[in-house]
Amino acid sequence: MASVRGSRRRTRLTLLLLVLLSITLLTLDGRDFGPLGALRSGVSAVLAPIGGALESVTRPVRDAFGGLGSSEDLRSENDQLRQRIEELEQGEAEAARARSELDQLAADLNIDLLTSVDSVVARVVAGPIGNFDGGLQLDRGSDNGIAVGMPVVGGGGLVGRVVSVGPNRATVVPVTDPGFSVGVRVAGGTGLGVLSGQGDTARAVARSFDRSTSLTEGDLLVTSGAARSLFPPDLAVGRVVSVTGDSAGLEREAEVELSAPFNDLRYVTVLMWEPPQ
Amino acid sequence: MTLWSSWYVRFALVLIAAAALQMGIFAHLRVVGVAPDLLLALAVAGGLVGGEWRGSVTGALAGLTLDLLVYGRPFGLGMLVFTLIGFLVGRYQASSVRRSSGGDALVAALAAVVAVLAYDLGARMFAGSPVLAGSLPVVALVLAGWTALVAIPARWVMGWVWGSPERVSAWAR
Repeated sequence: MASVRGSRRRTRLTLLLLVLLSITLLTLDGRDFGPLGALRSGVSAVLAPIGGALESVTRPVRDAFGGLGSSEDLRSENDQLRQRIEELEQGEAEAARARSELDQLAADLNIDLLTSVDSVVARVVAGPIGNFDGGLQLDRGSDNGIAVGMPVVGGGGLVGRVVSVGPNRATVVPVTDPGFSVGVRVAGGTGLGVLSGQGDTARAVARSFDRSTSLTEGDLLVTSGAARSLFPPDLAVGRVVSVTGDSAGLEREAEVELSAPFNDLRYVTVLMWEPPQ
Repeated sequence: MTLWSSWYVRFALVLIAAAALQMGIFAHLRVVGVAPDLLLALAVAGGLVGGEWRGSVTGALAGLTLDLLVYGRPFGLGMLVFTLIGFLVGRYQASSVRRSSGGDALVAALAAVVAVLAYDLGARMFAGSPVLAGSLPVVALVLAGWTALVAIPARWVMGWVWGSPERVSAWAR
């Protein structure tokens, strides 16, 4: 009887200690205690290659199983992609001409364009590992010039922002993360809004557009690049799928289909751009 | 006395293997966007196999491993949530007289739902924003199914980690 009571006391004491330790870690993390970040980077640097190797080894099997169930979808997607390629090829010459004119104008007016920003291409070696996170691991880091805060693009759209860097590793918080937000505007338009991730790899929500903003289905949203923005202007973010107003009718919000293909993101480009201080 | 006779060594090996498997394989086995969580399954299995004390310790270490692997999340939240999950499941183990695999699977599913709700609540409290990769009910329900499935083999693994009672150090009992 005494042994059972002693065992219970030990269990409660252990539980209390573990809970207190957790709360201490939470408090230290809340105060940006440096060694915790370094510890995370170290563990990630050790485990990411093993995880990446396992992922590569099992990918063909997973792709095969995925393909079995979705051959009709793949055929339809192929048709859509062929059509898209034709459209893009038609627009390519026009875009080249426009870019040439833009470069000329920017040079005349002494304006820095994003096209002149250096970049590093990196491989996505690990995606979100479960349901409680959304980080992407890249195989390039500070040795390649990557720094915290740099924007990341891929697949024709904004992917996210670098939040942690090791010598050969970088971690990106993607647009899809529920804690992520970025200032956006309609390409070619003026009204500003804020796009937030919803934990969904395909969709996000853009809010706070003034009710006078022209916002219609199919509009392309790009980063606003407004003062103090963490992103440069004019990076494609996604296309408006539907538009609604808030209950008071003062603001408009839009459901957005993200441009970057988060379900199949193998390579990304880190822009060597840092927000102005 | 071999290297494997110490539960510390076995546990470390299992955690490293679980982390690598989670990153390399389980993270990609998504059903409606929800992946199985091997570390949560280990926390649940630790309680199912070993009771309150071992459940708490398994949960704490599995949660700490999760905290080390994920970014942009409050560090320590995984440890806090999984410790409590391991303890609660261990409490069930200690108080139940007759157990079955079906009952254990049901407890694992319930534990997953509680873990998701607790993690989301904790993230809102400590980070001020939700963190789940999907809508809360969907993640909770699908992860419950995954955990019920994965907790069964995870029990065998945790049984190997903790070994027979005589092999565990006295204060650990």
